[in-house]
Amino acid sequence: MKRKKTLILIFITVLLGIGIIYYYFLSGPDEFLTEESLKEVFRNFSGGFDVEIQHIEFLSDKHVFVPFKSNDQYGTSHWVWRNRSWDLGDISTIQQPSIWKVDPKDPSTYKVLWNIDEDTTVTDFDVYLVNQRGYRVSNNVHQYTPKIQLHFNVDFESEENSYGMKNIPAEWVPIIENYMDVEDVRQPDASIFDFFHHSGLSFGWIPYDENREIKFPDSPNGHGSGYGEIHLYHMPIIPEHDLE
Amino acid sequence: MQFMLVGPASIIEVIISYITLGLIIYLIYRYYQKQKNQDIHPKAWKACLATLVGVFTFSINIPMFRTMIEIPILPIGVWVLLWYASSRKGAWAKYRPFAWLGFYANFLFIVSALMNVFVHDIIYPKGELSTYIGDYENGVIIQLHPSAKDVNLDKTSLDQQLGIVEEVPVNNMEWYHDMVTFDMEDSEEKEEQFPYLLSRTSSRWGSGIPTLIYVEKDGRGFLIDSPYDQRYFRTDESILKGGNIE
Repeated sequence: MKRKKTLILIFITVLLGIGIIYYYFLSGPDEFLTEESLKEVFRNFSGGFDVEIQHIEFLSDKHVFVPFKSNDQYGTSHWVWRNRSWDLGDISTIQQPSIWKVDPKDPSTYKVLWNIDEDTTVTDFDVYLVNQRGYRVSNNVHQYTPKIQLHFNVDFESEENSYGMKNIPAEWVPIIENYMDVEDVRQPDASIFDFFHHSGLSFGWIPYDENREIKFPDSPNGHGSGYGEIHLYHMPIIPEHDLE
Repeated sequence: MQFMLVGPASIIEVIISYITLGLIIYLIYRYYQKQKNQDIHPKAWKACLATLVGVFTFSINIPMFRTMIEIPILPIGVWVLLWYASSRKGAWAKYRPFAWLGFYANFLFIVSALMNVFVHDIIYPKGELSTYIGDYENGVIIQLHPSAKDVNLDKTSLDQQLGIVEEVPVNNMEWYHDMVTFDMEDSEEKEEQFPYLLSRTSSRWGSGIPTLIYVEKDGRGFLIDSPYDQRYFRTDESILKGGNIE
């Protein structure tokens, strides 16, 4: 009799455990935050100034991009559904485009996002995929890493809004996939010189003005904060001498 | 048991894993029969559980032969079972063979990890291009560099070249210095030695080798990155068409 009771108890515990795991990690997200609560976050971030929510874009059911404007500053915010609540993952007024790996394992979900002052003299910008050329010799084994340098142009001037979103080009997807397939299972190298090797495939950008001169957005006092890992990368400017 | 968990499984890995598992189950069965004759056997599921607990060890991981070898040092699982059995009379005599079987299973895992590497090398020779380019039905050429030309994959040519292609040593120093030391002022004119990627192909069936296949600018060389090493192959004819490359 006692045995039967124990079995039933174990059964109930397991069922409860599965239920909690499902509820906590797998069940769908609630409705997104109200404009009021979003505005409050943005107000706190920009020091009490009035804010305007420019747009709310769902990149997936758990990833939301919200560009906003306050006191002539242009901001981006990235929200994720995690641990049963809508969390602010990143907020910034630096006006630097970012790449958001919505599903890091699937490059076709990678998005380029930006929100840049419309009055700036920046007319367009290039988004780059690069891998530095490299070579190494260890234990008499030679290895060469070819240079990868690809880009696409965003005609910012002709965009309707200060904010925007673009998928990465379809040709980039298999490159990133192949690269990740190999890197993910690469065995750790016993050589202590291994740290010279980690450059890696990365993203970057270059903004231009109407004369095709490199021009940074006018961004007075921009700042930003990130909260936890949401696979969002603010793109660095590619130095011109790195281009071939 | 690392080798079972890392990377896309090759067919060799799957088969060897099942053989190892089968062997362990067979050994449990043998020990079980032996004990049954002495009339001190535990319940079957408890014997399996004791073996599983016995597998846990404090171990040292050493990367060797392109795989991770876990050398068991302290039999943690065996001690746990010993501690469990110490308060139950006669329990240790029941569980001891299974606990140690679990511990020794770790050595079986090492043997099968090494077997996996050696058998894989025999069936999928690493010095042959056809190991890395198995199915290229949907293969495409992707431009990686501004110096790349608008070319396509010539499947007929690739088909012919696969049989006669030869591996040659990587002489990367030369390529790198050609790129870096010359033309410093003329940086926009730089040509990459390998400006193309051959994608949407898969390595030979069952090999499970992930690849990054760079194609040389003249269409006659393949530089192949795999998780283990890099290989370089040269063909007689170009496998690219269009773009006016010589």
